[in-house]
Amino acid sequence: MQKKISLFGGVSTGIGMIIATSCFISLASGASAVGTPFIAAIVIVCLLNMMAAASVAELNAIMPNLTGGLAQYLLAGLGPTVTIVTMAGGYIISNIFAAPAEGAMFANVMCDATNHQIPPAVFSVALTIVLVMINLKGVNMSTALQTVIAAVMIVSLIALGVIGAVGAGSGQEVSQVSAVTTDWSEVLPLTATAFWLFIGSEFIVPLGKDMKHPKRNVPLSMFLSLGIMCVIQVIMVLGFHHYTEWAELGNVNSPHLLYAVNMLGEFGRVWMIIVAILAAVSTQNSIIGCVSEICCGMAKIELLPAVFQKKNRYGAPYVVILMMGAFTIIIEAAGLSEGSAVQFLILASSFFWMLTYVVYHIDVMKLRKTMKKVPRSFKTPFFPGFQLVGIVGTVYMMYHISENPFQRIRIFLLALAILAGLLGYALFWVKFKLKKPLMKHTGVHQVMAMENPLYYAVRHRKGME
Amino acid sequence: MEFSKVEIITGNDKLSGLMERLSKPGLMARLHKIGVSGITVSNVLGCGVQMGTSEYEVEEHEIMQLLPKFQIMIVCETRMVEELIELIKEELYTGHIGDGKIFISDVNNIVRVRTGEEGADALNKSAID
Repeated sequence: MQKKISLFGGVSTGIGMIIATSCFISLASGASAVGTPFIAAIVIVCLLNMMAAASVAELNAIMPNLTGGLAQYLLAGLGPTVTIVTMAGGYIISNIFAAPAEGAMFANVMCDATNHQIPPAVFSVALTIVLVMINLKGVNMSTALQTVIAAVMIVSLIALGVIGAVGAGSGQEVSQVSAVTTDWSEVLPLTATAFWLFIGSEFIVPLGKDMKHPKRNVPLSMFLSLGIMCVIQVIMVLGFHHYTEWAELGNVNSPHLLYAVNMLGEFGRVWMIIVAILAAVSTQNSIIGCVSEICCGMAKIELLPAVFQKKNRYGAPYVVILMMGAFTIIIEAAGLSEGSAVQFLILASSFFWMLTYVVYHIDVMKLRKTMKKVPRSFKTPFFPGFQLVGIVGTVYMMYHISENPFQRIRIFLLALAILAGLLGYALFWVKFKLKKPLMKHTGVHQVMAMENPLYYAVRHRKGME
Repeated sequence: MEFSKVEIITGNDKLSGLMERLSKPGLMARLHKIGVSGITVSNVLGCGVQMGTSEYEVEEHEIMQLLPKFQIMIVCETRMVEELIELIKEELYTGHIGDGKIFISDVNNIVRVRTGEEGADALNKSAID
């Protein structure tokens, strides 16, 4: 088969995965708190997440062309228990929080477009129901369509950012200080807020199979996506400085709309509404698709019950889609729409995602020790420097997940309860169902063999599953 | 000058990638500069320690099952073997059983039959042409 995805395609997909409308909430929240010094937090997080991307790229170099990818890397390095807790927490639970956050962003924009005549929950729940039905029909939004939406969003953000940054908007410029504070003790903790702006570059990895020169282009796409996103976010903060009051920015539910209206008036409002609706629909759809894929992949390698890979007549993994839809709708129907509630969901989701990045670093360090002679087409430079800095930086962000002490405790308790539940499930599943040692890694060749459909066919024929 | 023979036995699907890499103008020039002047590829049958068992199978074969493979032979100066091996390892690696093995052995001498030249002269372009 001809490999079609170029470096440009990889970077577009990466940016499409990273970008989401809920990013505006994080961006506005951080910028509102400290002003332009938030740029420092953005750059630090970008560098930290590039280190995480480097670790993922090295894992991909050890186990290239895996469809499941991320779960398999951990299974080969750290064993089934850690894999279940990390993957379920880092990707399934975090996305269960992320999906309603995107729904809320969509609802807020729609409310604005319809002059607040309909409650926001109606829009978010309706969107989720429609997307669940589309996914149940096995209709996947094509990669081309996703790329077009991502491209529209990127071009719009760059345009809106640059217009704002150079003060070329038609609206009235705001006269305000550039830095609300330059105190590092206030700026650094905001890295936790900025983290949300740079997650998801690891989803480029599964594209490796269809990429031209994957050994070079997979890591490069990840780094370029993160770098480009960093530039976009920095420009947006500079734009905010010219057209939105710092205080007001943190208090509105749709800061992107506020910025667009202040800068370009009604034209900006319409422009941003179109972009935001497209992006929210695309992102929530991607989340549903992505969680389905992860659950299917984990069920395939026996880390989740087989029911998760059951498919309906359209070939859609309906159990996961329905489960994901139900959780999302419950949270959305709870009336979530305010910026603060969305921010809570984003931070809770970030917390689990951060945990995953820490585990990737540990996985790389373990495999450097146990498989040090294995040829790697990509090796993280300065080993173990990037991994150690990545772990320390990410743990710092986890500790400072929120500057509001009450919210921080809530997130810690929520995370503790969920992780305890996941650990309980993982221990039970590995010990009694898989009957495997809890922490023993699975050999790389065995993990690779699980990719082959014949692996399951042979075992099924022998009555082994 | 010392010479080594590098023999690579690998699955059929790996050859195109390796050849593509070896034939890149920059790389081939580099290899040529440090001593690689030729390559020989043969179709062979064989098996390794798994006795030809596919990695998805549950039990290993009790009797050897020979599978089609490629054998690639390169003779070069010993000082560049390490670099060549790294390149080959990186190119052939997939993590799957069947990535192959590399055998390295000493070569006492090389003789070009047509001209009678020996050693490095036999590996490089003939001086008398």
